Order: sequence, then C-alpha cells, then structure tokens
Amino acid sequence: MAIQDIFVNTAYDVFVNTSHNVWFGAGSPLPALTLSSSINRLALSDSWAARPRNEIYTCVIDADGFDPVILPISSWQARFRTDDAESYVAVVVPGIEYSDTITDREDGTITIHKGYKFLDTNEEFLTAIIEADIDSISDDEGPRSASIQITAYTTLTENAKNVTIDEVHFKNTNADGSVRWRTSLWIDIDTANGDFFIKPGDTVTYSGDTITVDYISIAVDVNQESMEISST
Amino acid sequence: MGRATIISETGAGLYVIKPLYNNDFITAEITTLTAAIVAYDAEITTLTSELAVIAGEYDDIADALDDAIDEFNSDPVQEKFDAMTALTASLGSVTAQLSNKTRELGRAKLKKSSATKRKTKLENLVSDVSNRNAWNIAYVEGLSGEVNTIEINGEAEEILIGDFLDPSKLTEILGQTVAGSLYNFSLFPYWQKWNPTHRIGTITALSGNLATVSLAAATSHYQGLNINQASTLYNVPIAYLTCNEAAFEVGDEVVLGFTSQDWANPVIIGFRDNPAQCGTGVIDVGYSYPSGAWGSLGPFSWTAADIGGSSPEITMEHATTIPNISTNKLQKYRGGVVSYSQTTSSTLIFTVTRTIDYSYSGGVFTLKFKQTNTEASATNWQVSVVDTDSLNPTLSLSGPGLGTQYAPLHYQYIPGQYVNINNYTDGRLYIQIQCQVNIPGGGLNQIINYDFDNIKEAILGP
Repeated sequence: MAIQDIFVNTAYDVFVNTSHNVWFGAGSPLPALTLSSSINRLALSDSWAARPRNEIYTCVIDADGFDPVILPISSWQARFRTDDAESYVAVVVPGIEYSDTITDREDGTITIHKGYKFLDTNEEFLTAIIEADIDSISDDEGPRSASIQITAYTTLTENAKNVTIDEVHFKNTNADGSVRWRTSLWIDIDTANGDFFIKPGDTVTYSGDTITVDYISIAVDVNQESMEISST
Repeated sequence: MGRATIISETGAGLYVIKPLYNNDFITAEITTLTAAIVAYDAEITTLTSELAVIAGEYDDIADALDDAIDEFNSDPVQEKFDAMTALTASLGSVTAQLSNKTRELGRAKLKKSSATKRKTKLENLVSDVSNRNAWNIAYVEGLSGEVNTIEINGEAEEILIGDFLDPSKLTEILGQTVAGSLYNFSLFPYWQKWNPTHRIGTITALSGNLATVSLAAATSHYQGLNINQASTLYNVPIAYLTCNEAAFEVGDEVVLGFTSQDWANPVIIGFRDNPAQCGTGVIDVGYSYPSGAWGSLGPFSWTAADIGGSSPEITMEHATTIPNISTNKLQKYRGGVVSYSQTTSSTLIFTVTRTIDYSYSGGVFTLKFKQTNTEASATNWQVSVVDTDSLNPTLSLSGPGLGTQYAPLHYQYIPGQYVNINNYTDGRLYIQIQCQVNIPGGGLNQIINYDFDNIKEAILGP
C-alpha cells in the first residue's frame, strides 16, 4: 500500500512528541500494527488551528512483499539536501522486539510522517516528511537497554514553493552571507496540494526576511524537536 | 591523476571509458563481511534450534502445569500444591530463557542484516561504476587499454583523458578507513585550492605561446568552498601535442594543469572537448626554365605549428622564407565560409595576387581561386588539379578563368578570373598554376603548386 502524503487514520496508535504538551509513545513498545487500508482525507477547515491537538510523528517501514508497519521510535534525525545530493534520515527504535519486522523489510523504505492528532474528534492529520531507502541497520546494546538504528537515504526532488513561517528561535548570518534559521518543524495545513513541509529549494519568509533553503537539519526526540534551515 | 579503461572509441578524441577505482579496502571488507554473514547464518540456525527446544520445554511444562492445577483443584493437598508451585517456578525460568533466546536470535538477525546491507552496498559501489563519455584533452585517436585521466578540480564529476600529473586512482569514501576518509574530508578543499591539479578556463587573449585565461568558477563539493586563487591567469604557456599555441584560438575552452600542483605554474594542456587536430600539409613551390631545368623551392611541409590567425580567418604561415613568396598563408578555420588571399612577390620576376575562397555546405566544398598577374610579360598560363586520393570522382572545374581544355582538370588559365573546383568532398588536392615569364637572359616558367592535404579537416576541423 502506498503511503499517502496526507491522510487521516484512526486505526492505529502512534508515537508522539512530548514537547509542546504532547506525548511520545505508550511506554512499552507497541506490537507491530498494520496501517489501515481505509484512508480518508481530512476536511481542511479554517478552524483547525484553534482545535486542541497533539503533535505526532510516525515512522512506517515498508517493503515489497510485506505489509507496511508502524515502528515505535524514540527519536529521528534527518539532513535534507538539494537535488544533486542525497538526503539522510535515521530513526532509533527502542528495544529489539521489532528485529524480525525490520530485518524482513531490510530492502525497503522508511517514511517519517508528522501531523496532529485532534483531541476533539481523535482524527489524525499526517503528512509525509521524507521517504527513504533503507541503507543500514544496526543494533546498540547497553547494560539495561537495547535499540535498533535504521538509516536511510533518498534524493529529494525540488518542487520549490513559498512558505511563510511565524516562529524562528535563532538566526545566524555568517561572514560569507550564508544564513541559518532555527525553527520548529513547520507544517501549514492550509497550504494547498499536499506539500506541507519545507524542503530544499523552497523560499521561506520570516518577519520580512526571505531565504532560499538549500539545507535542512532536523533532530526530534521525546523531549525536543529542532529544525535548522539554511541558505548559502 | 586517475586511471580508466578505454571501452570504445567514438572518434576525434572522444572515447567511452570506465574509471578505475582503488577497491583494495572494499574488497577486503567484503571478504570479512561474507565470512561474518556465514557465521551469523550458523548462529541463527543454532539459536533457532535452541529456541525450538526451549519452546518445547515451555509447552511441556505449561501442559504439566495445567494438569497439576487440575489435580490440585480436584485434590487440594500440600503435595499437589508443591508440585504446582514447582512447575510454576520452572515455567517462569523457561519463560525467561525463551525471552533471552528470542532476544539473542533477534540480535543475530539484526547483525546479519547489518552485515548484508553493508556488503550489498559495497558490492554495488564496485559494480555501479558505469561507463561514461570522456574527451581526450588532445586530439589523439587509437587509444586502448588503461589510460591516465584528468579529474577537473580534483573532483570525479568531470573526467577527461589526459596525462599531466602522476597517476593514482579514485577511491570511494566507503573504500577508505574511517580515519582515512575523515583525513581526506578535512584536507580536500585545502589541496584543491592550494595544491591545484586541473582547472577549466577560457582563453581571452593569445600572444605567441602565452595566453590569458579566464577560469571557470570552481567549488569543492565539500562545503561549496571556492577553490580558485584567482579568476584570471595571465601569461599561461601552452603545451599541446606538436603544435602548441597554433591549435588554440581566443574563446577556446581549455584544460589547465598546474605543474607540481603549484598555482604559479599553470599550463594549457588541452581542450575541454572537441580537441583541435594539429594539421599537416604541403605547399610545393618551384619553377622551371623552358629547357626543362627545375628550380625547386619546396615542397614545404606545414603543420598546425605553422597555423595562426583568428576566426573567422585561418592562417597557415610557414616559418621558412620561400624566395618567391613573401607571405604564405592558409587560414585555419573551424566552420563557416572563409576567404583566403595571398600576395606573392618577387623583386626579380613579377608580382601576382592569388585569392582562394572556400565555401562549404553539408559535405561538398566549392573551392574558388584566381591569380592576378602584374607582370605584363607573363604568358602561357595553365591550371591543373589532381585528385590525389581519388576520393572525388565527380570533381570538375568551371568558371571564367578557364580557357582551352588540355586534359581532364587541366585548362588554359585566364589571369584575374576565378576558377571553381566543384564537387570536392574530401581528401587531398594538388593544384598547379603555371605561367611563363620573359626576363632578360631567357624565359622562365614559374610553377606554383598547391598541394593541400585534408582541406576539409583544415577548414572545418576534424
């Protein structure tokens, strides 16, 4: 089943970020869950921003011959580059209970989604941030815990768009004129055509300043999320 | 700097190559990973068997416990309670073993998966080296086997065939040790800028063997750093095959090499694409007396080293002074229509002016020439053309410059009028113009032979 850019799915639980009054995970790892085959588009509403909601992230692993499965993740990181360079994403899956699920799909892909779970209707709005081919799988084991790390690469296709953001925590301008803005992982549900996330090549405006993004660095875990967008 | 294998030759300096990589490290790692995967397979087989045994024990104990519970329920005595308790403890122990063994099996599968993915990636790196088109920086044909290559800016993105600095081999970053790749990563932009290898530039001025070159922008793929120390290089010498600067024109996109990787010592070593050929040819000039005595002034062989001038004109200037010809020019040209005029003077005999026009359209040339005599006593003009290589079976002459026909392609010539050489497509032409001049002491036949080889190549380029 293809992962849609935007869908509403209420058939499974998800792991969410605890920052910004949201929660991340249900404690112990969840059993492997199959994505619902019924995908319903969320009716976009002008009132969505005012609705109580949690920020949520999901990681879906998929491969030919296997059903897509949502993996429980404790963190993920990514580096987005422009067309001619590979973009990278890595996720950490706590425990090793998902070893069979992952090794079965070692030649597949992982897809990171971000979205919101609306508390009034329990609906979820998810948009795919990146889908990448699995490059490596490794296990890390400590005295009392273990985890699996999956790294994946892909080449993003530029589809330049204009995005206006209203939140920048940190701005840096280097001597060579390159600019770096630290912001949140911005999703604008009202943006048309399902391309909700900032990608390299986009023109981003904040408080009257505009940059063309050519590199994005993302780090998300249960306690924080950070995205830096930069231009040369 | 690198090496490649010639796969095929397209012609005129263009080849299909396969770059050669140093895969020593990768090959060794693939061997190690292959052995590890075999070991993991064995471990997985063992763990799976052990897990099955433990699972069997679990089932047996669970069944026994079910029976013990039933027995205790039907006859609740201490002995049966103790038996039930003992089986419960055993089940707990086996459950822990089951859990631990399952985790061991999971880890083994993950390690095998990790090793398999790594091995596949390395194997793909080796097998994914694809053939690519590559120009030789010089007009050299007939290459085969392994050749040296030039990586522009030290990057693998643009590879040309050429030989300048000591050859080595490209190495994938995953084909290096971690320390080696980090070292390379750290120093890469540094040596690109301060120990330069090759650059692309455009000739903006030529003076003798020295050129002014405007460098193409060059950035390192690490951090996008500018690796040029300057945007323009001046007084850059040209070292190209046997003809050096004669092969180049202002506007040519050229390849520069830096001797000893020193920015202060650039050399133009070739073309980025479509390298020019060092041309060759012969002009044979001589004269004879009515008695038949031959006074040879040639033949004068010329090469591209004798070529100068600038587009749209082409000049072939022979370094040797020809007694009866003070200026000896054939304009080198690479496209379009060219006019060629030449003035020949002799203080002893006479002065003539020759004009040869070339035009070319889709494979067929019309060569047009005339010769004007300023010496009234010159008589008995004749012109003949020989298709030396017999590549032009329909070659013919026409035009107002022709008088009586003496033989095929041999006519009386009317000075000052044009002669057209029709249907020329390729090969060598031998054009002879002859006149007789009466001078004190006896008549003199001056014969000027033009023996042009590769006219097409000389005019259009290969």
